[in-house]
Amino acid sequence: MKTKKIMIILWALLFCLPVAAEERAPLANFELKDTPNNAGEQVEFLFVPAASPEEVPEFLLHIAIGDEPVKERRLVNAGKEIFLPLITGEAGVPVEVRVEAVMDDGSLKNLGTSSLVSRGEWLNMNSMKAFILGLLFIALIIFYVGRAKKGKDLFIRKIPGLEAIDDALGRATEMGRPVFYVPGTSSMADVATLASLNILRPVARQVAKYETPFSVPVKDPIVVSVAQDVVKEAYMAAGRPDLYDDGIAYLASMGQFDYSGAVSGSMMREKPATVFLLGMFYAESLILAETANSVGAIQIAGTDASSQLPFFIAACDYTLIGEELYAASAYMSREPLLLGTLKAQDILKGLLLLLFVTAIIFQLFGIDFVMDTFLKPEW
Amino acid sequence: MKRTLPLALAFIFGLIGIAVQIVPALKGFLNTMLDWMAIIGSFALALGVSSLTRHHMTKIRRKHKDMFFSYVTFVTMLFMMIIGLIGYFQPESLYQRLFGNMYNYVRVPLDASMFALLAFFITSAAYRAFRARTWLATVLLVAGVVVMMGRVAFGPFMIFNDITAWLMKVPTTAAMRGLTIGIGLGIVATSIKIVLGIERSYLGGGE
Amino acid sequence: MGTLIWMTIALFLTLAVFSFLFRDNVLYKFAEHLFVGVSVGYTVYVSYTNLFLPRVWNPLRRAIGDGNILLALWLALGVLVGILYFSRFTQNWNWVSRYPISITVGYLTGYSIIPSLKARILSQFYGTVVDPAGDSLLNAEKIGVFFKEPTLHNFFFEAMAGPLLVFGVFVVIVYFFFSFKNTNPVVRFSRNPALVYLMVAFGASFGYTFMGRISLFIGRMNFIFHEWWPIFKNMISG
Repeated sequence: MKTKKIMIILWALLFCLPVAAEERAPLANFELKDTPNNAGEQVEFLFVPAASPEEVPEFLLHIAIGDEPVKERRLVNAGKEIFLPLITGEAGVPVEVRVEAVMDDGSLKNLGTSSLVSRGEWLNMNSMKAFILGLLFIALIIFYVGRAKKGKDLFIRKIPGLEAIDDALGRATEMGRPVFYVPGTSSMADVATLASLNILRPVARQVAKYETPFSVPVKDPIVVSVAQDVVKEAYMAAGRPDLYDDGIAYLASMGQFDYSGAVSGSMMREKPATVFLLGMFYAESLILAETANSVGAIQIAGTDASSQLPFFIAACDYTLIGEELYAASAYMSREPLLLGTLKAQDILKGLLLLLFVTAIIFQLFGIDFVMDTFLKPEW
Repeated sequence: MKRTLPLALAFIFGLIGIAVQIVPALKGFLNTMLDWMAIIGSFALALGVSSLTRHHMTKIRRKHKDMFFSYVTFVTMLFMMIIGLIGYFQPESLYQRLFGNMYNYVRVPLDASMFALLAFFITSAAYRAFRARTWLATVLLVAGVVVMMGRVAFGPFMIFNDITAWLMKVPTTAAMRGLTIGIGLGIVATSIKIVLGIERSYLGGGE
Repeated sequence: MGTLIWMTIALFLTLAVFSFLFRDNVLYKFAEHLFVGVSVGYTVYVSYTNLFLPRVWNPLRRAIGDGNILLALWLALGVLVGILYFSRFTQNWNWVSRYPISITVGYLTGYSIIPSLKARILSQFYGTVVDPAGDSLLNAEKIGVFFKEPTLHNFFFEAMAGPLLVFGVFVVIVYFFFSFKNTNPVVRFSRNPALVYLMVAFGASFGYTFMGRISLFIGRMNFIFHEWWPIFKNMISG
């Protein structure tokens, strides 16, 4: 009899268990976290609903950031986790989020509170890999520049587009027709523009030596002044300051297609024998290249805009492909400092390729460590 | 003063440019810095306008046969500036409507038409590529034709669609990635050269 | 009536631009110079209203009003540095304009280093082997798919896609080595495959853009025949 009673109680308890368990299971899991690699201007609130949408259709958040008045925010329960960035503005701001479940009958149920103080980090670890790679690059550059200064001969392979420059300039001189140089259609913010201005210098010097008419139409106001300086110094270096005029490099226009329209018009009227299209280009690349072709000019083009390279390749006589544009200043000047940098660049490239191949080999055996540690970019 | 200080400035501001990327605390400063660059850049605009003016003034002074058109540029430039600014301070005025119409019915169609010239230029470039003799040019041509057909393929030609998808996904992606990596190294090398003062062409070059 | 006049101007300018395809002529010259004038005038207007007022003048006034002296001084310094550009209008002091130039160039280049290393180098290497979902492109499973069902599609899209991608990236990078002699076996071996990859890529990109460019012209014709013409016809028929 006693055993029977105990059995009944035990059975009853067993049936109660799921109910009790359900009582204890949280309706949602949530946590406030400090956002890593920032200055504390933002923290994150991660919310994972555990209850079904039928049971708890909505959750109510009471968000308190610093001294600001508490804000309420409703989250519809779609069964998916929700990531909520909260702007604190600076480090050291206390943040508190209280969560209530809005039950299906409309009643509110307190689920607890999560709080923290926003924290800033000194270093953005997401950029560290790139930063260290940059430091390695600088070290290589300093090392190879030192070697080059000591007079070690540094080999550099032929780049056809650059080999052609001399002939193209000579041709313009023979024909008595001008040379056009378009330093791209972007601003100084694009490193390609700087690379182009580096090539402008030897070209301008040669042009001055040959006394060929020269024209550098530009689209950006700052690039105009730099181009003027470059051309002026080149003319002086060539011993022909008398030929220099501030109007050689001029602003043709400021927009993409008005610029290409103006430059194309000038090409049609002045019939240059040689046209350089070097730098950053957008869709206008082909307008310029085709117009140059239609007036019978030799076109030497080069860009790092991979979307425009196909057009230059198809339409121009010579094209500097991507990186060749950057190698050009070392190639043309043969300055040890620049050659040293080019060598350092090759060495770094070799090292990266080696790392890449090693990472692949490891990955083939199912080890992602090398790939993830060295080559995975973090944002 | 003429050369050392600019190089030092490039170095210092180059370091600031790097620092704002790796020190989160400088993020607020980054925005101030961007504003700063915008401020400095806005003054350069005067240089641009003056260079353009000079270019056309020279044509007019030399009684160039196209000098009439230089007047066209001057007049419209001044006209746009003046009605634009008056319209800005007098919203809903005739000036603002005129400015809007100049933009919508002059600038926009000119922009679109100049862009549309590309339809002809891309055809003539393709035609010239057709006559290419080297084997590499032939590779380019074949890939180009296949993709052109793949883009408009229908019915039994759907095979071109598949080939196009593969060409874009494998060899094109591979080449573009390789190119991009090389370009990235070139950009970083040039940037480092400038910050360290090895490359100084942007200051006119020379010594 | 007003709309028709403006639209006719737009039509006239469209045709003037297209006339350039036959030869340089008076109409094109007019359109070209008008375009430059309108565009530069517009840029000046935009720079004043969208750049100078909101980013220079107003913050400066606000900073002074709020008593944020440090910010005000910093902005004022920017204005001062910007004004140095005007030294180019002088004969003997034009080298002063190098200061704003070197500040701009120094900052922008320094600023570009880390993003370039991330986006143009690390991401590209990583993306060659790992797809956006985090799976390796070089795994035996993909080759297995081909052996289970040996079709051409599976061969090219599954089994060979990863290896060919990696190989292509490798040879193209090697092609852009500048300081190694052609006698280097790796360099010599990579040269032709790299050129094939590059040319296929350029050809394919060219072909891919082709139709898009043609449709630009169709867009202009649409303007003439479907926008201008109906209004013109309405006007005439009263």
